[in-house]
Amino acid sequence: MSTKGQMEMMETVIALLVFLVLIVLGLVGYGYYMQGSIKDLKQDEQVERSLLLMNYVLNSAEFQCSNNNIVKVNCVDMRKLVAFENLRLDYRELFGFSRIGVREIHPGVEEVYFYDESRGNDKFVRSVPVLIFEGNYRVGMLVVEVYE
Amino acid sequence: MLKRGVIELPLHWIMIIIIGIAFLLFFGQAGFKLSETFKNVNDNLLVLDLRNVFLSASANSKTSSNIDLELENKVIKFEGEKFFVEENGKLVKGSKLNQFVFGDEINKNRVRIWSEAFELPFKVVNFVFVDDGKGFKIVDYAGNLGRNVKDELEDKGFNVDGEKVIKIVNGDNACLGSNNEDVALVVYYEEDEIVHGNLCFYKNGDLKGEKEFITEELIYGAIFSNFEVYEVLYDKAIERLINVDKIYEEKVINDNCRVRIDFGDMERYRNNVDNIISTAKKIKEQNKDRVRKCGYVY
Repeated sequence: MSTKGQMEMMETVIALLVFLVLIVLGLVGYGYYMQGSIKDLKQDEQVERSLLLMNYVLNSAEFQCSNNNIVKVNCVDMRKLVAFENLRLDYRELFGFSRIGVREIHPGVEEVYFYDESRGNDKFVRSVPVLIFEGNYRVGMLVVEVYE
Repeated sequence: MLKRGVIELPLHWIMIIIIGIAFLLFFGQAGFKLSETFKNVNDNLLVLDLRNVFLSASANSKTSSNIDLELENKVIKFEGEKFFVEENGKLVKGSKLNQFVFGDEINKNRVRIWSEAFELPFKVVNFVFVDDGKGFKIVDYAGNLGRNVKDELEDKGFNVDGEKVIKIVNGDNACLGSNNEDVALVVYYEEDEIVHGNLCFYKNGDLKGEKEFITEELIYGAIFSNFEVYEVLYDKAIERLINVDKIYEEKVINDNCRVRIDFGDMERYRNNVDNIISTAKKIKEQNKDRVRKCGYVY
């Protein structure tokens, strides 16, 4: 009888242990899932910020090409970009940790970053074809790098 | 035997009760969290929707369109450069906007959004105006401006027989207490190439604040918003004007055109509307003169 009692006690302890192990495994799994979700959220935030910055640069008077207030779509004025470098600090709140510039691809190959507040290596890069105006029109890419 | 049985039975039951409570707590909490998450996701989607709507509206000028939102029983309130989503008087979500969105309170699903460029004389930024159909009533339009504003609002598809009463008065005047409780805004303006003047904001007959305006677009800003929003966005617009002016100043230094343009003065005149206007007029003329020799600057 005593053996039977001990056996049942052992069963109870084993069931408790199995239950605890299952809870710990569940918690670990949940932790991994949450970590993945947080990483996804961070990435979503970077994607959204890059879209916002891209849109801002393409549609702001500070960068756009214009002729008698008529705006040329998807065109950045190189002389304005150069002038903007002096105002860079005023735009830190808006642009945050990012690097924004234009990369000429035709006819020459040149890269100018007019805003550079990069940090670390974790970045999201977005680029879009644009016209670059500096007396004449050239073809290039507007590049936005968003840092964590 | 009986004693042992009595001891063994409660141990099993205790285990079952503990496990049962643990399961109940786990699933109860999971269910609660899930419903909270769904609500949170919906609120986030609404905020994201609004941000995208304002972002695309501000990318264009001279566009006006209806947008359908899924507000259910939520209300959107604008405050400075932020907007908040409220439900039953409780704050649900909020977000800062980088665009210039002039709005007041939105509680209907269908909103009308209009965007227009703010130029002084060069383009500074696109303003976005939002209304949910409550509309406006323009009264006392003795001069041309009241008529123009009413026609423009009607042309852009807004209700011009609505709730918010706007008085547009030709002449320079200080803001006084309103004798009409319905009046929300009084615009005192001076006829000029660049229209400018003073805005008086009221709520239930009490003066809430006053602020100057330059250009018709800022009158629309005041019509669509409230004093708190207008004050913040006006200052932000002047700040942006100064920045764009500095960029043109640098740009002109770097080209080889000999025609002088008075860029770079806006910062000195930030608090003097008359000087901003006279500088803007000068720049406009100089830009015209320049086109014959070296093309437009802006």
